[in-house]
Amino acid sequence: MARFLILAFAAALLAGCVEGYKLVSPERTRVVNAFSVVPQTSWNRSIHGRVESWTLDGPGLQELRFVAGLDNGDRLFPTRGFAEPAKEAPAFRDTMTPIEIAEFVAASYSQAGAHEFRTRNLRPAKFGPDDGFRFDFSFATEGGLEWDGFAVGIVRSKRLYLAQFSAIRLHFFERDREAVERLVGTIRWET
Amino acid sequence: MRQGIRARCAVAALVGLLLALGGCVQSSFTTTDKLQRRAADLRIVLMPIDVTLAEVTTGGNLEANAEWTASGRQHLTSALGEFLDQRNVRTVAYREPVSDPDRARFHTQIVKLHSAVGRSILRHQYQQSPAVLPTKKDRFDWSLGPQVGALGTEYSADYALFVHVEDSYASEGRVAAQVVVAILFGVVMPGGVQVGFASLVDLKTGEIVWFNRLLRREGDLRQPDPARETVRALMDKFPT
Amino acid sequence: MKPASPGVAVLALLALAACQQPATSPTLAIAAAEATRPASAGPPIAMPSLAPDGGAIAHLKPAERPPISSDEAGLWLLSDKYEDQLRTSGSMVRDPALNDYVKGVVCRLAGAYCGDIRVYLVRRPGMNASMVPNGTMAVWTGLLLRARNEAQLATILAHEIGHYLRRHGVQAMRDARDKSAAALFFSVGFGVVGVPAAGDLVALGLVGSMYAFSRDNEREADDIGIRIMARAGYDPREAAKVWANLIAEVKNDEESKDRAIFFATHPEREERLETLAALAESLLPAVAEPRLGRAEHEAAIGPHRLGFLIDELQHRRYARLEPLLGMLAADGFRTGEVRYAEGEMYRLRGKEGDDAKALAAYEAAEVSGGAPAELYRSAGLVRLRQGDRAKAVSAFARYLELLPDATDREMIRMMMAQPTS
Repeated sequence: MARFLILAFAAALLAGCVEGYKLVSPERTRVVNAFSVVPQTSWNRSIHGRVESWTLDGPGLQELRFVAGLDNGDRLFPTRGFAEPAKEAPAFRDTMTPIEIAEFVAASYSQAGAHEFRTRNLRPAKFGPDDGFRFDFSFATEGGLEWDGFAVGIVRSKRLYLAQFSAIRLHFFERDREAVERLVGTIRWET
Repeated sequence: MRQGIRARCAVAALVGLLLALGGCVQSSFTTTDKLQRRAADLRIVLMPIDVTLAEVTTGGNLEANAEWTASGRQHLTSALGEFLDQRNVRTVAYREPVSDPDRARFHTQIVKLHSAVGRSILRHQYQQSPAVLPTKKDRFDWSLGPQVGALGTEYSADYALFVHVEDSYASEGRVAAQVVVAILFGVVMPGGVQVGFASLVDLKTGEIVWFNRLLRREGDLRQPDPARETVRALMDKFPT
Repeated sequence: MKPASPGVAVLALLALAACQQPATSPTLAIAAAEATRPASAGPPIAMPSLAPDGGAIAHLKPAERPPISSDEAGLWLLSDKYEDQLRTSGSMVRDPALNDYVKGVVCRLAGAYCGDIRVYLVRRPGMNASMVPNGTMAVWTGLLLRARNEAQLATILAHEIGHYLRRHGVQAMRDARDKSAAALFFSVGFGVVGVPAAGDLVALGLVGSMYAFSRDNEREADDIGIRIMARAGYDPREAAKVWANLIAEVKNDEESKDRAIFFATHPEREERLETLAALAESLLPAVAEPRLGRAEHEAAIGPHRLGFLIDELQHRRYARLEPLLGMLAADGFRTGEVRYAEGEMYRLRGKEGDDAKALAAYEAAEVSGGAPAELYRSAGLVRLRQGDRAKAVSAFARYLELLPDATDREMIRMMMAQPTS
């Protein structure tokens, strides 16, 4: 069975067939009961365990992905119904430095089918009130579209938390990036 | 493999819904009643029509048929030309700028972006879809962004029209099998499906001002007259 | 939904509308290919009979296209769409020099058929190359990495050309179509016609699958391939070496599903090596100056090889990498990069004892020279893991010294100030 995933569609592949999207109103909203954010506009959200996938126009165009607690040994992309667990997919280790976390994200995306996944500008940054990290990234899909993104994260109590935004470079990334920056700036712990 | 499953799953979901609802569902969206013109003539650049005609064999496989596809594309193109002529629209065919690879790559990104947006519309805009986005309820706001203006300047065109059609036809064996199944089980197997979409993009803003989904069990692109009928269905509520 | 392919309408229409070229006799094709051989070559190399089969799948003639009403034309239609997706895919390698090098090898091998073949380099780890009936050839960068000289690259490309000339792909597609797999058969995501991207063993016919060529087809492609190689002046003894190296690589991958199947169901791999070796010996006298082309190969892929190694690392196939890196290090070509990759492999794998192995590899890389500055960043990370703060800080310092504009310099400085984060 091919382990070839089309990433930007990953969360909504099945969502497209099975799960529905719920409305997120522009008010303080809990994300997986771990933290909360305040969006300025309405979004659409789809929840899968400890991962929430938010979008304005569909995950094939842009995706704001909240990972609220990867444990030691977890993969970045949860395995699903008809995909075998990707044995070679890298696992998070709670001893990872931010450099290694960026490598972990890059390798996860590469194995899931992203091409030329590159991370840049890894630097210290706030995750909510705490000291975390952030980095920029870019990749191309198999279909040949270029995507840009950035991720903000932290390891807290041995768990990895990430707020990761990616969008098609042409039009969508520039259009939505500022709103997402503001949204990520409103992160507040709820536990 | 995932891509195949995703595509089939999405199509199966759409087809299933359509069959369940008997085919009487809204399929087109328009953001405007009248198209804007930059000059006296309305000019539309016709992007390369993506057409595939396939045969559904007895076993239920899809077999791409080159002859049908070639003639289907011809009939679709000329029927489309007629349709737009009747509405006083000048069309100019898109030509890939082979001598300018950078510009060709940029155009390719636009076309790919449009495919991605088109797929998102099909999957998330329609109220009957399981993946409908709540924010799209009572709204149709999709755009490829202002960078498509480059196409408008190059072709002196106001709009770009994209058309994508996939047609499958049941072979003789399949039709016979269908009848048998219907008699034995009281169930109708889909014998062939016509799936596609057409969209009109405002080249000044990148906004999709008209979009129509085609999803039905009849239609035939292999002959000129039925092809005209398909075009009428495809261009439903096209604004002029 | 299939993505709208902009050029496919035009391309497919042109392809299908083209009149079938007047048939060129197979012997003329060979004569044309013969004409491109170096003048000092020995007697002509015997090719297997190229007369068309009785009806089924005929041998391919140059510039030949199937009539539009045939089922094969439908397969070409899909081939054209596949090519269009491939050409604009995110995995294309566009570097002109590298493309010219590979295309040059293909043309040397394909002779009269050179004009019918379009070569696309795909950035992907794993040893793979493939052709589809309309002449599209995809070559993975993992193959460029593993070929140690031009003759070894030619081995695999000639093998694929063999499949193409005998139209095995058409046969395979008809079989797949009968097994309800046609819709999935053409997908750029598969990398190879009908074969999952991760399965390079499947693609090379070493593991059976519903998408692979039959064993007879594989034998035929081997046979034609090595003759084409020899006729083009390459040393045919390299053919068996390529397969032997791949077997050595795979043998190490004890957990791989593919490996289990590979060793269980293909005792013929021994037969294959023996056949290739015997053929090579019989063809050798006819090759005037058997070429390895090691310098040309190293010059062409040199600037790109570290990138290809990093691709393999990203896919974390440690069991395949260990023997491969060992072989590459022995070549003595850009050893610093190979040792650095070895260090990265151990660092990322992180099993008991790997930290020490990683540091040893980084040290070897330093001695050889030519490793990237990231070597020191990686060494610093390993030192941190070992709790050796002083050495970590000095490694990070060296990294920043070499790359003062590193985009992660803020993070590194922060870690140097407080390494225990």
